[in-house]
Amino acid sequence: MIRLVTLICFLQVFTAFGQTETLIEEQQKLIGEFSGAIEWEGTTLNARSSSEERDLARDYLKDRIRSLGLEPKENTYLMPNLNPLIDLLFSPFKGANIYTVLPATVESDEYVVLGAHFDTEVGCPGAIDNGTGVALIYSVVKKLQLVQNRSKNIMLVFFDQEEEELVGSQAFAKFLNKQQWKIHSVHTFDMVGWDADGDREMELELPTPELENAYYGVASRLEIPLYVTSINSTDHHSFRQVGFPAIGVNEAYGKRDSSPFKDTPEDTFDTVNFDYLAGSTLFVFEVMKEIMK
Amino acid sequence: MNRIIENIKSSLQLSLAILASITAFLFKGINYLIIGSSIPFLLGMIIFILIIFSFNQRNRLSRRMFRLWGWLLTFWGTSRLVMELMFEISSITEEHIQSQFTPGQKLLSICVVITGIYIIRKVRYYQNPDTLTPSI
Repeated sequence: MIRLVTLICFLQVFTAFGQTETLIEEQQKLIGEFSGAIEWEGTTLNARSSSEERDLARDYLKDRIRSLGLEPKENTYLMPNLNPLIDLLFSPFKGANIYTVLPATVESDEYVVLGAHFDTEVGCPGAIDNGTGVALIYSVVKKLQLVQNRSKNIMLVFFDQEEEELVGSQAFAKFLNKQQWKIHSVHTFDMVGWDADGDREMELELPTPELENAYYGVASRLEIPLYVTSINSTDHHSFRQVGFPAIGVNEAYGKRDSSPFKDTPEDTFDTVNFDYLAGSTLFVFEVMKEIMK
Repeated sequence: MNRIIENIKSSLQLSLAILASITAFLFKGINYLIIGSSIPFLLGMIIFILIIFSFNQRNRLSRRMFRLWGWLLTFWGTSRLVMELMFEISSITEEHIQSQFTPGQKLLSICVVITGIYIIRKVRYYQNPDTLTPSI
């Protein structure tokens, strides 16, 4: 009997370890290709800032979505500048978000939105900011496909132009509002690849009480340290503005345990802590499973 | 209406420069109105109405209106060119700002400045056809 229990425990640990290994490999490939460390279909995505670079990044993301057996959709937009006087001088912002829907396994009109921005500053490979966010939500959705009971639809969305005053997510929030879809919650991920002190800590930005409880519940089980901040400088802010329950999740940016290479050409593949990213991905996956119950 | 058309015909080049430039700005205003920003459209509409009203006159007030429009165009184009120079010096990294200063956009700014100067210079001849000396 003791031998049998030992064997089962060994198999469970081995399986979990194997899953993490596969996850790390998958995320290494995605971030490698997305930040120009690995060639993709004969091209290199060195940065995702200019309109041509962002077009290429969108093609890549559509390809990734198709690889999940889902249909990629484009939400194109034109948005005014921040000040009407600037409108007199400049052209409007022009871009496109990419999204897809993983349907619930039961009849449901509710959506849980998982989002991450895909653009970078000029000349930056953006491996951590925000290749890691893109890889995290991609892997979470891939794992959620295998979950038998999903009570809500999952919307996977990659935002354009976060680095330009959150324009892409603002356009998407407007789009969701116009569609009048029932949004359960919006979870955005921006930079999840740095953990210098190795404590696996994550930051929750401005969660609603329900979302805070959901994250803390799973975190206590997995022994992941969390803390809450009121930082609102990334995409979740756009959704809160139009009244959706939203949360921002990322590395410990508020405690300065965050990539020092943000918005620089040094934000490369080699600086990503893939163990931390994989651990964070499994954590978010568990949170989603709770929300799906 | 006939008087407006007559006045336009009598100073065709100047009138075309004014009408084409205000139409372009009005078009820009409509584009912004569609995406939720009304200020450019409102300003464009006010200037458009004042200009059409001025075409109905042929006096000092209409010349002043056209001259003002010429100065506004010159200011618009010059501001963009100065901004481009400033952004190049300070090496701004925002893609949206960089995308405003492509060679095509630069050419547009220069064309607008030239149109503005042309209107300012030509408008002094836009006067009562009975008088022959240019007004200032």
